[in-house]
Amino acid sequence: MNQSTPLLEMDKKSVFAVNSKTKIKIKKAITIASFLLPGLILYAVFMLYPMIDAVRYSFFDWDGAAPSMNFVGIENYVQLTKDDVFLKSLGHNLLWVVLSLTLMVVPTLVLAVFISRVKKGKMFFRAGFYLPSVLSLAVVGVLWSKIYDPMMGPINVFLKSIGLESLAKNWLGEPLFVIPALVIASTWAFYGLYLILFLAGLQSIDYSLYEAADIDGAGPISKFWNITIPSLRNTLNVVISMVIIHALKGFALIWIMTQGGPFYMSELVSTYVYKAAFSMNKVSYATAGSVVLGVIVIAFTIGFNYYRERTE
Amino acid sequence: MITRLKQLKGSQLTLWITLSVLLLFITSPIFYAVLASFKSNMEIFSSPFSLPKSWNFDNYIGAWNLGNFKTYFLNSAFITIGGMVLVALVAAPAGYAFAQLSFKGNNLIFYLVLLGMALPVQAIIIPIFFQLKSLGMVDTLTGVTLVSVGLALPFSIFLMRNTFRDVPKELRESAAIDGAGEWRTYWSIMLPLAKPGLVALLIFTFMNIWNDFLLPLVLLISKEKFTISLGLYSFQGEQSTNFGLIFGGTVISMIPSIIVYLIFQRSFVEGMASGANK
Amino acid sequence: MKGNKHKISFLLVLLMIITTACQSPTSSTDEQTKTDSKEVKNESASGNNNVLDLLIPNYYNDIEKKQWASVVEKFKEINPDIDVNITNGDVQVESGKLPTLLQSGIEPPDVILMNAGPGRVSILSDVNLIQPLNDLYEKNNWKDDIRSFAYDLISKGDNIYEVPHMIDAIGMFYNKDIFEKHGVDVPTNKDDFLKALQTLKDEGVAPITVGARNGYAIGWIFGVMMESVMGTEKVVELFYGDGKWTDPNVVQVAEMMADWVEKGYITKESVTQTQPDSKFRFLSKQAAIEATGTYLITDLADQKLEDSVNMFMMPSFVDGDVAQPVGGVGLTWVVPSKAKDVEYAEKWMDFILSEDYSNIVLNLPDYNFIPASKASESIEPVGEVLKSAMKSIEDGSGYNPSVFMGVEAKEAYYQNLQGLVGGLVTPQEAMANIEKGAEKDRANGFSLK
Repeated sequence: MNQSTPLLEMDKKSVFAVNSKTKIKIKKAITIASFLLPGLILYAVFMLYPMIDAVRYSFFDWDGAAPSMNFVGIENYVQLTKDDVFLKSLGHNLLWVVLSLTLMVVPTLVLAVFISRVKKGKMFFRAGFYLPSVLSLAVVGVLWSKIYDPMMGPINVFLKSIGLESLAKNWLGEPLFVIPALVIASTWAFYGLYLILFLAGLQSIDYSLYEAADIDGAGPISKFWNITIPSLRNTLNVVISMVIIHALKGFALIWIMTQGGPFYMSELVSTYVYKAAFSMNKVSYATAGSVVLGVIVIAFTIGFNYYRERTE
Repeated sequence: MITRLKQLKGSQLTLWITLSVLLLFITSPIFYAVLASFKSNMEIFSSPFSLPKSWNFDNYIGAWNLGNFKTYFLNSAFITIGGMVLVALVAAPAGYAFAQLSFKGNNLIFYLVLLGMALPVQAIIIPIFFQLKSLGMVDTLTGVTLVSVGLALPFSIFLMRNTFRDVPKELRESAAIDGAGEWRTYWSIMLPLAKPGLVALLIFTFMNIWNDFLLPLVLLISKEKFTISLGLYSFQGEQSTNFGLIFGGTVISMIPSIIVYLIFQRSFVEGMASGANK
Repeated sequence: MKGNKHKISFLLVLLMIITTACQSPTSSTDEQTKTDSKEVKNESASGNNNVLDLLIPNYYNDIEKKQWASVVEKFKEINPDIDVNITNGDVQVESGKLPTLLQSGIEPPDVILMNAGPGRVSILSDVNLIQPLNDLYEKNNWKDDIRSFAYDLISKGDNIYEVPHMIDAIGMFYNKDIFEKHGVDVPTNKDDFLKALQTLKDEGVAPITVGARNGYAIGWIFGVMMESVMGTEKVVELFYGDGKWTDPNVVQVAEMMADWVEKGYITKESVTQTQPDSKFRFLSKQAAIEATGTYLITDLADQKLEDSVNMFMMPSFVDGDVAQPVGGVGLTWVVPSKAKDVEYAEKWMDFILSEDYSNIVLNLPDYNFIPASKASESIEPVGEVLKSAMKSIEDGSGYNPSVFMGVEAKEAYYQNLQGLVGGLVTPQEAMANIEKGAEKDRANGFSLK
């Protein structure tokens, strides 16, 4: 469809001006280029080229300052597979994905269903619940690191005041709690977007389905499972994929709240790579790590879209 | 029928109350920060949840002066406004070309652009830094702006292409018959029709650039170039034990995005939803 | 959607007004400084008024700012034809900011005061970002102006790239009032020291606070413990000889640290504290002891705590030995390869090593550094804490490990010590990890021998 109309149009044009066909062609090419090129150049300079560079660096040994680079083949990647901290970081990324999915998807969906039931003031709730997502991650990170503070943070002050001193933990300092604590902060910062997606999805559900179910005497839970969830399939797909990608890409919150510590307990690939590149000068090694992350994310995204297109 | 209506009203009331309580709970960290920003350190510790004894702005003044927030604010504004203008000027025509103009390799190039959407910044941040360095633009606001725009382009072009695809082609054709050039058609006919998409794009760009942390962290060195996110981060490092001051700085950093959000709340939410769904 | 147009244009106009309104004063001052510097350059062409650009660390507080101002004033008095322009910034190699600055093509300062250490300076000198100063040393006879301990540390290689600014003296700072209140005396031997920690603990006081999230800070206390438990010689062996981190002597120190955490001598919050957090706890009397350097002195002055805080050396655990404060050169001056006014930098560094300089700073009651110059040896500082610190290094100084380690070992050192404080790694594993880092460094050619 896209292709055929312009062709037709070309034909029309050629009827009017057969002689200066090439002239028109050149003129047209220039016009098209003037639309496309500014964007494409910026894109090429700041994304494509660095992408190629990333792959290139990863096959060299370079500290970021030396005038020459040594080609080392896949040595950096081999080292990565032997690097305990890197593997640990990958594991943390996975844990991060699982925890985000659990915390983010179902609770947000339930919240969305509740909000969609509201007759008056739906907009108010939608706007209110979205509020945390407006804040920058720097704000969220600083805010939550103070909330988790072992001495002065409101959580521990509260627990101590009601006599539950034993429950007052050093939330960001204990291996069992640090990642969940970070994921909670990240959920707080991101769920708003998914809430809105769910609300939009819920809006498009055919209301008559519910009426029919009402006549059949179906309860709210059965309606949720049998009507809401299936109708939201597409939205769910989108949300789940976005949650996963976000979880793989996490950086700012961790960097602000723990810098990957204590003792690598909250290290993600992104924080590890940042440290290796910018404070240890292991530029090419770090780049290899980031390429691994990039490949995982791209493969997942493409695979997911392929799956989505096939099932839709 | 009447009982049913009453039931409905009753259930609406419970729903309202439940949601309000939940909303209060979820937004409580924000309120906590605002309250704490009016308190002294002692007061935050001894009575963290009560209203401040007095509404004094010492922490705000302190943070503003000590933390250089004015500079940070201006830097963020420069990068964000510059980025929004550039993105609109560059992504909209490109999206238009992909949607409305026919040329060889249209799809191929478009897929190449789409690839950028899947690519996480983290994967290329290191080469970006070194490339910017070779361009002599490390530690410049222009450098951060350009990189931000470059990274925002794939999604922006994608969004604008989808927007322009919904505009009927006949409009363009009839304009062409009237003798209007491609650019004139674009400016005077097509762009106005794509306004909802453009608004969504601008909102997206604003949020992304204003709130970004990674790019400024990597690309900016001197403090006088810091953005508000980076400034807040370094401020909390320096003042890490003065909770009151930090909350002052935090609230200062929150205000601009909240104001923009409140003004554009409706189109904001719709823009987010439509953008993400596409 | 219709309303949006107005909203957007309103907002844009608002933003523009704000930005232009706020910017005009700053931009005009910018222009002013620009024209100023232009004038300066013009004058420098005619040989009148010249500018020395200094890059020094961010000030901890106002007191430090004033100290620098008085130093600069003296310099100008001696060199009336040179203007001094001070810039503050991140001078750590670890954060990558300093190398980046020197590479970025921005005009570098003439002389930089950076965090010292062979592992740090070599990162810059290896890629020629800073210049060798051998000629200047010879010409000005600086070798004789520098404390021999400091000179030995910086002159190991073929070239000398730095002029040491100050000597670190890291020891145990303690709150006198807390000690008095709980009947604890300053301990002078191993048993007293451990007993003191236990007493404080039993009395419900947090004995030691550490900012373990900042690697350098957890490194301070570990360095102090190494000095006490192993003795200087074995520490030297570790950096300059064939010593290994897996040596039982070193592991013993790590075990002691783990033990202190277990027993509550080091508070358990330490693991997530930053150095400023820890300092705050110490200065607000929520902990009895913090291992830190003389840098603390300006904070003491700032918060009027000079009388209630002092420092002592952790007693040596080796029989018959006396523990020294750990240190090395803390801050050091380097000259970028692309510096434009090397002769001014030379004058400045010569001034730093002069008696004039030491006279000024040591007579400031709140001065916080031990100058690295020989001239300072014979001057008695006015400040009490600095006096005891300077006295304690009269016979030499111990080694602060962070300063002497390569990149890999140092990162492992920071991380694993934090792990020790968090109870996340065993002492043996931790030391093995650091040794692995040291091996990598050796493989990469890092050596102090």
